[in-house]
Amino acid sequence: MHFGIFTIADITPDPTTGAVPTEQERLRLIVEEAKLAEQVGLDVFALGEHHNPPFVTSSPTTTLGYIGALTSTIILSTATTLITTNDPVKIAEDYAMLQHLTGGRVDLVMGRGNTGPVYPWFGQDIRKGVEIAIENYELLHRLWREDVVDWEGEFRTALQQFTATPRPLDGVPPFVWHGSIRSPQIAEQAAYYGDGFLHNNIFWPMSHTKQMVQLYRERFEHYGHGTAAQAIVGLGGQAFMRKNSQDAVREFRPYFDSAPVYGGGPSMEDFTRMTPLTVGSPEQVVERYLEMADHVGDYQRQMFLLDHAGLPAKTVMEQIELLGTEVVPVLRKELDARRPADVPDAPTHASLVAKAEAEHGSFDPAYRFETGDNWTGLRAEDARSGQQSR
Amino acid sequence: MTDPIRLVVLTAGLSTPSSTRMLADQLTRAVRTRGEAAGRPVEATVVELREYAHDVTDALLTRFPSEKLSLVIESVRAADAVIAVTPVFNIGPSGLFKSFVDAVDRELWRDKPVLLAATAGTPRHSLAIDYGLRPMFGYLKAAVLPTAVFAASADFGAEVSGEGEKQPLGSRVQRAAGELVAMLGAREGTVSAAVAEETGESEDPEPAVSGLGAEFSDFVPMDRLLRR
Repeated sequence: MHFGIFTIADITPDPTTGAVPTEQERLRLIVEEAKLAEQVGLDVFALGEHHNPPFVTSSPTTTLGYIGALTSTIILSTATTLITTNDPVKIAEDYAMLQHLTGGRVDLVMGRGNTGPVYPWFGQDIRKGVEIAIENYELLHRLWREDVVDWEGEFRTALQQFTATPRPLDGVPPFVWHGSIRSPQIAEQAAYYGDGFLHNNIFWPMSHTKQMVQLYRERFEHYGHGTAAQAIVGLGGQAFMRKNSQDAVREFRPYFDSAPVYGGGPSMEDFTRMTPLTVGSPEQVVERYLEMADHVGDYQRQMFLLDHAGLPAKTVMEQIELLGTEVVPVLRKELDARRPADVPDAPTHASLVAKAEAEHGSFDPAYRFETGDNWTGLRAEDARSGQQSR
Repeated sequence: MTDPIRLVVLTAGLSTPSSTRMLADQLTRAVRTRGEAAGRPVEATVVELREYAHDVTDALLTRFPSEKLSLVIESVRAADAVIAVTPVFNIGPSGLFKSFVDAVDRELWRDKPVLLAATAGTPRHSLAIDYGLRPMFGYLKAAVLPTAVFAASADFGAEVSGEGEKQPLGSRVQRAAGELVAMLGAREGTVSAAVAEETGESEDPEPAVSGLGAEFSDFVPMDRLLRR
């Protein structure tokens, strides 16, 4: 099971002091968060993507590449990668680069994005968000599996004889999760490809999350990728912890009350009852998150949002430490113990390589393209068919 | 014995009692009488939106409804018809009423028979339904009745005992109630077939996905998404 943290890289004034970090301070904090996450034994660090203030994460692979150089084991992921407004060709290139440089420590969570103007800024139409997500991902999926792609679609210029470089490390594309809060089409998309489905349920009641996950599981089985129980599920989560639960409640309340998204809305008590947000002792967080598998079945990844709403850097680091040292070891032990043997653990590059080798034999990493003045040709066009099955 | 008409009455008055609630009750009684005359008893659920004002605001901010508000949403979804009554404030529907509509799923209203009604202090607001409410429910693709009922304060005094149906407000209420019962009678048995035909559901070989709430009704299988 994977446990990790994700950040949306928001710059929010600390409501208790009015302090606002600079963009560079916020970026450096994100890097420190990722390093600490690895040190305290977390498996995944995921970074959001936004193209407007108050966020500082327009170019996630830049930050993730930098973090990749400063870490050695943690998986770098996204929360989410905008499959609608990014060119799928550029996603294929950027994340394959990151995959090579980090030795396969990369996966992605695809999302459509919920900021309306981003679509027109990048020349797209928000009313076609789902259609764009479907078409773009279909292209991305092919670019990582076929050496040479001829392609024509509605939302980007056509491709003839295009090769996305570098080719995925060891012939295995980064694992992809599809994130959606309420669109059944996206759960369907994840199921169709046998990809993962990540429900960021931090702002939603569990009754809703449960239905989305169930839809994904049923359709995963329908498309022949395994049983419903074997589908790859991830959840979002949110917590604020102190040794003494009353301290946690007292300290977090001003951040909750003015937080973007839910600030000024329900009381913290109502919100913590209705959503997975847990404010209390590490033991209470453990108790709450042990229940999640009862709702959605045995799952593979649990992510936590710990650094938003203007929480100061010191507090954020304390939260990551508490999560890694007091919460995750217990959750990991209990959740791994309850998972049946035929339900897969969280996918990693190593597990994907092992699976590919079992199916197709070992991969030959030798460079298979022309190296002279030809810009894209294969050394032998005929050799291509052998690579397409991946 | 035919199935009862499940009627949800949304009333957005802010005071208790309110003239908006009075108009809502008058419309409900008229629909009940007309329904029973047509052999359809009426099961009415009256929802005072003021009791959900905080839940509505929370739903606008968090983008998900509280458990309490979910019950109202589900009752509207299950209803055969809705009577929606709002006060007119500053030449439009009350903020509470508009916020309720903004807080719930657009698909909730599609093809739903809706009787619109409004109250105001003076007759000068009598067109508020037609410029403020009817376009909104048109956008939401509700089946809005031709007759909407507007009542200014003075209308509540114009009724002469025993001659209610001859008075302007009483006759409008009766006409709207008659239209609602007639529409439900005409739709019975024909609507479900028409809807199935329009969406192609009857030809869909995809297996039903079990346990999925009505809020996921926009599910589309992948082969159709990929246009294959």
